[in-house]
Amino acid sequence: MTILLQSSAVTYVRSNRSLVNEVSVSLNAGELVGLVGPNGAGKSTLLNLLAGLDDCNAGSVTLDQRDIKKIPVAQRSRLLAWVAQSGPVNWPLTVERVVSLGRRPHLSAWQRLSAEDQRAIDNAIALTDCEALRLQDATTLSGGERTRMLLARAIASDPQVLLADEPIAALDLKHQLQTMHLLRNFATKDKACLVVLHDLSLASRFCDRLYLMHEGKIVAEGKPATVLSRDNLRQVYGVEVATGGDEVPYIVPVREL
Amino acid sequence: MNDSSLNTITQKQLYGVLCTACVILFMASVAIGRDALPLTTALKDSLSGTDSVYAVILNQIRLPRALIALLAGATLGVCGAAMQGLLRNPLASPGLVGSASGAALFAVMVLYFGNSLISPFILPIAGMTGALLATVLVYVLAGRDASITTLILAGVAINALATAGMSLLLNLAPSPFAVRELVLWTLGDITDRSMRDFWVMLPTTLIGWAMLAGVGGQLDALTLGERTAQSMGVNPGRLRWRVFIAVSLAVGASVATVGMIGFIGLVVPHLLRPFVSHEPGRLLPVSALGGACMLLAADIGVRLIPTDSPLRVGVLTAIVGAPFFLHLIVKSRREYL
Repeated sequence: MTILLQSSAVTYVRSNRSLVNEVSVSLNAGELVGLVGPNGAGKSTLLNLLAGLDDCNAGSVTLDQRDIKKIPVAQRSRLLAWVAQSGPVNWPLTVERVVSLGRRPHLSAWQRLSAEDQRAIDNAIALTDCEALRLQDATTLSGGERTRMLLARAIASDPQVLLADEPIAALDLKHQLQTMHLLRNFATKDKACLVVLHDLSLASRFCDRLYLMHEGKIVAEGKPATVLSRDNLRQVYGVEVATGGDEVPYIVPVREL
Repeated sequence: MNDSSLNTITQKQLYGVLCTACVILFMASVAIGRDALPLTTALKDSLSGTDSVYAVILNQIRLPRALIALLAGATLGVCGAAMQGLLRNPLASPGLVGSASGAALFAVMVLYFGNSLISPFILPIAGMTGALLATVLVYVLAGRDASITTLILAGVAINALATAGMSLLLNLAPSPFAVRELVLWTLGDITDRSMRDFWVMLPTTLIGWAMLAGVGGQLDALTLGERTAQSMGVNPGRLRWRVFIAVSLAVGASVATVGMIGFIGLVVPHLLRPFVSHEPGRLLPVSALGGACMLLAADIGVRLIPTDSPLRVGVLTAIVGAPFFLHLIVKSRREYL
């Protein structure tokens, strides 16, 4: 199995606080991996480190078997796409234009979009159900529509690795399912996806593996059923949960401990 | 006209209209003046080397004036668009980095101490030095990895310092004539400029433009915020300084040659943005053409408006630009404020 992205004991300290503490994770080709944990556990910070957006204080991150910091930024952005938890759209560009920005890593400063680029854009728009929004002003979108557009932008760049920070947080039920199917289908053959999720039921249903994070550390990893055990959830989230379902597993918080 | 109808204007049509306007205004700038200049005769005399009055007016007065207006206007337009794209704010202007006031302070210092009489090159060179020094100071104040807010604050501080310096020089000026000379210079003017002034400002301006060439895609990516742009291969820190230094060089050269000309860098990108679907990258070349048109038109305007004392072009752009800008703010306040 090919490891596409890996971190080895990465540590990230800010204001004397260890936000990520000696975390080692890996992402193999064909995998959809979930990163779960309570608020403030360090999930987004870890994702930023894995995307090469921040420099870790100790440890290393490798992308496609190479130190991520030694990969030229243009090449890195072709290999890896990162979708923010929430992000601004500062000018009233059309949704199609925002999605087309995803092709930027494949173009030189003076190059125009080719027919192949346009196909990738159209495909990403179709996959994320953004067709009806194509010519809409991106600053007028709802939170969920904006997330789908940003996801389309990332998919249009045709990366090997997709890192998505809570992509279903603002979505309705239908689009949550659609997005999880989309991520599942993305992570096939030579591609992989690491997704930060708060919905443990969907994480359990769609992800091949999970990392459970707490106070900057990975406290459990492996198959969803193992990671999301009642004991683990009690310890990390401080809640009692009800679980069930075989084909469609569910995890529902019952009461605080 | 709403945005969608503006977007139906193709890129080629937009460039066609702006280029044609630029050429017409350039020719009008050469032809119009206290004495009308028959263009073909003047051009023939000039090319054949005939030392006629028309050739002299063309070569030594009108042509440098029109060329400098073209260059300075384009600089203000493109630098305004670049700053607005970089700061993702439609109210940003090229003067924000402190380079314009730095250039003005050094130029006023040269005028104050009478050094401009030593060599004609001293004034523009001092202006450009001032612009660069102001940018270096902003860099030192803000630090290499400064945020946009820190950079703006550092720019505002340097602007305040330069303005204070100019006020001090005006205050201590030895005679009312010196005060008048200093004040008039800061108002912005393109009269009495020669081809030598044009050649002095050209290299630095071109370096500034060259540095801005190719940043369009990066400014487009910045639309989604610095972090997302970074994930798309943009180095926000490097981009910031590239734009800052480019603006400093080009605007510094422009201010050193023609003084402070406001509002073009602010209004032109704002006016043209809907025609390029609000894309910061496509706005750069279009704003350069628009800026050139606006300054050429303003410089023709000051020649045509009858006043007792000659009207300065910087005053005209401010008189027309300020109310227009207020109108734009009121019109778009729901969108931006």
